Amino acid sequence: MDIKLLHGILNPQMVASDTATLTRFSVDGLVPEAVVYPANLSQVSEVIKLANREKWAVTPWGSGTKIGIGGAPKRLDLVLCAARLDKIIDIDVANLTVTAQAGVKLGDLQDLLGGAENRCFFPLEGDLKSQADYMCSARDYKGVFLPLDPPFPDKATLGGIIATNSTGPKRLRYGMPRDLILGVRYVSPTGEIIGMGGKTVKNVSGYDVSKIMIGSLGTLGIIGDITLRLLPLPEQIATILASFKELTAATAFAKRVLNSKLLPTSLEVLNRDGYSLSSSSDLRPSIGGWYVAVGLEGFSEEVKREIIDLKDMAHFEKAIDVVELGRDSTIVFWKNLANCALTLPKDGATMVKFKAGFLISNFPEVLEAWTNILSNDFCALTASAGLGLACAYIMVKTDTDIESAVRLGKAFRETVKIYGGNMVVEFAPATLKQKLDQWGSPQADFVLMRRIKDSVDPLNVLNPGRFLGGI
Amino acid sequence: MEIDALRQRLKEIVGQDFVLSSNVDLMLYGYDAYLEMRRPDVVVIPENTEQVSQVVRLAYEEAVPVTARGSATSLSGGPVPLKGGIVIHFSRMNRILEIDVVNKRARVEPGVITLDLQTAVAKKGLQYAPDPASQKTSTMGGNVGENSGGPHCLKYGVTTNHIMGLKIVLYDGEVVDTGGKAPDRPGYDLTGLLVGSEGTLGIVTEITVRLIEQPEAIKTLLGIFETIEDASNTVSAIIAEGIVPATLEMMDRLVIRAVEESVHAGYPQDAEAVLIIELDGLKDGMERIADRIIEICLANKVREVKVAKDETERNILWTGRRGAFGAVSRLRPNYMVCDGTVPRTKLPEVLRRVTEIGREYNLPIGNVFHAGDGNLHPLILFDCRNEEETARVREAGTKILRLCVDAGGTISGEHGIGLEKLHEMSFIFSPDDIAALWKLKNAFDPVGGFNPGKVLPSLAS
Repeated sequence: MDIKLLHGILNPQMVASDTATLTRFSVDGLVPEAVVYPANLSQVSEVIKLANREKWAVTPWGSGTKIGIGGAPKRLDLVLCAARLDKIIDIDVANLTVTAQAGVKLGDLQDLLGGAENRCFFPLEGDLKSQADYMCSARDYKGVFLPLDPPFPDKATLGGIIATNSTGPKRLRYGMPRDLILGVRYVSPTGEIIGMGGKTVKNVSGYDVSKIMIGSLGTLGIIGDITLRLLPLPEQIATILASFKELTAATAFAKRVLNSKLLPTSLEVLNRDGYSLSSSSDLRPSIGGWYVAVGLEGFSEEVKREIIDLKDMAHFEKAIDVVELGRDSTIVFWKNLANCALTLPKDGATMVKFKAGFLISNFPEVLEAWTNILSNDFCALTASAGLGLACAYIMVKTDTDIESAVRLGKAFRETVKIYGGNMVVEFAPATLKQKLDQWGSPQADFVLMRRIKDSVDPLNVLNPGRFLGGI
Repeated sequence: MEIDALRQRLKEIVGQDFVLSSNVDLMLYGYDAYLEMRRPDVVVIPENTEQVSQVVRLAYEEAVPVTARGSATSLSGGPVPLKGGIVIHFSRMNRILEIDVVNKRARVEPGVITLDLQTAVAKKGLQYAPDPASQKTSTMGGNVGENSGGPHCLKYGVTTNHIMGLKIVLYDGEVVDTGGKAPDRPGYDLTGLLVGSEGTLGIVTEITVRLIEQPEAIKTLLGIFETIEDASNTVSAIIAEGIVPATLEMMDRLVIRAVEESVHAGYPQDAEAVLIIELDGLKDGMERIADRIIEICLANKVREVKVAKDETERNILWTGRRGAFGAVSRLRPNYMVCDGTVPRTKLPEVLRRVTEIGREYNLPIGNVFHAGDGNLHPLILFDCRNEEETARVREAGTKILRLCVDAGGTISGEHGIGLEKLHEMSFIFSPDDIAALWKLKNAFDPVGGFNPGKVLPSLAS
């Protein structure tokens, strides 16, 4: 690679090619020849146009928390890091929307949104003469939030979250990126700056391109900025934790909650190791074999009533113990769970994470089957009841560990297929991914995905080989 | 192939009785609720996916365009067969295939009437949230094609937020499934791209939808206002307050009067605007939120707030809203509805300018719309036999869309581009954007056989 070509379009401090940096930005062991840090979309566009001329392979990079998702790159010449694309463009509290660049970290954005107070707007822009013409809300609590709670919320960037369709337990109530995205501006694989959607909450003008950008792992474009819906911060938050001796009792409780009129924010069923991921001492892990965590957010009357009903339901299903977490403990509990893959591994071990989607009603069967094929080692299982999602976390260190994780992954995948589902490897060392396909086998609609990729990225510049079916 | 030979081949696929080609038939299947009309060469009414696939394969081999059609309530010309060819009508593919209560999913054929699905799932304590005003007539296939909205989309999202998977026939007759009942299938979100693509990417023959629990409690309020500005300020203030009701629907004086003359929903005829506000969810806390909304209404000079006491009163309030388009159509022979959408804080300003545009072009404009979403529906009334007036209507419509775009909005919130707004696409998309959309179109439909002439303006223009 001729680095001088990059210097022709970017300032020297936006291009790195020293060994330390290149190693830090390696993807599955493959080391790039340069890393660039463009500061705006025009620069991204120039870089991508250059990559097309030079036939470089480019991997986009946010903060790297999910760079392990996907296959090993077929080729890697250039990493395009979004660290400088970190501007929050517009927070419109009164319209409940935010527009921010891809490199903005979710945690930073949430902090800013949580303190956002200005809910004033102009009733008649042309007629504004005095302060009295402003409309302002008299709401006595402040703040809005982006209702997404993916893994690594502090570090993860908006671009990365969108590119990997990253979701967390709160998806039960608030939906996923596809339900929140209103607009996206991105650089196409051939270098054009493309804008779709905007600040309106409804839009059917042209194809809904933002949908295929979500979860496309940077293979269809480099995300520049994103407009998303916001919600007012809830008045009250709480969590109900219940422990059960048997899985059947835990799942019976979860089903009871799902069949009620209650509107929990999240509903996670955890095995003992899964519960330990939260590092919570609120329930002693020794007293139960299975745990259910129910997140609650809403108006104070709602949360109060939900707590009473949930306690009744848990006791009815013979819970060993039921505790209620207040605001602070609730925040800590869910944050620990979200960060576990990075914080827990010690002494050179790595976390492996499998994530499966299947028919909602089958979460008890999947958990039971997975439990039956577990070895004795640490294996944390968490299932989002009501969503049809389950995750398994395994710690690996030695080659033997990896071999057994591969066996487990294959067995998990076979189980999930029975329940109409699929499993992906979301977090794993490169050596494991060589032995276990990250995505599983493509189906008949893959023909369309291939055609889309070929149509928009004819030279296969963006993230070659990392996506489903080798896209 | 000669047209008679084509019709004969189609009869072999779907049966003698289900190929229509009389003059009257071709006329009847050539228009929707927009203004244009084009005759197809033939109409087929298939019974299953296999027949649709064979029809599409034949069309591909013979290079004949194919346009899918549900009940043709589309307001943007979606099902109008602009280049003739074959119209596939889905009235026979109207079966609800499965209601899976435990997984909260339903599978339907595209010809299922939206309200029929809603009624069927309601019996099982569930709901399908999208509720376009045309739900009594519109089909699920049409809703998917146009990504339809509806009053309850403020809280629950539009059609695309409730579609889990599709079975589609590709340009050469191949059949594939996208998405499915289980979440997070790896790969591109093809379902998300297909919803709202107006039949230009593929023909949908089966739809898997998400169902949700019916809410525990519902509270419906009617705010009666002396000026439309007070009503729209109230909408912006409720959103800014951080309350997201299930619906926030507005009607102005012209529409109120039309509604009262036709369905008698009990709206006061001397009011300038009414606002239907509905809350749903847990009963706990709902009283306090309703009180807060009433306070906001009072701060914005509401004349009166009525609260529906029971289901009957609630239904009466909604009858007026749902019957509004029909009621307005009694006033003049035609109306054109602009579907512009703006950020919600811009509503008061934009509405005022819409009124000015009506005055400037000397055209009566009524407003009945999803205020909470910032989704306007100015209804411009006219008589299409008067060519000069029709020209003025088109000009005023374009001006209203321009106004919405200038306010940070867009040209369609839920009715689609169709052939109506091809020209206005350039208001919001650059030539590069349009080219990017064409690349997707070509990936799905390289021969351009599906609903040609819709959604995407040609690259040269």
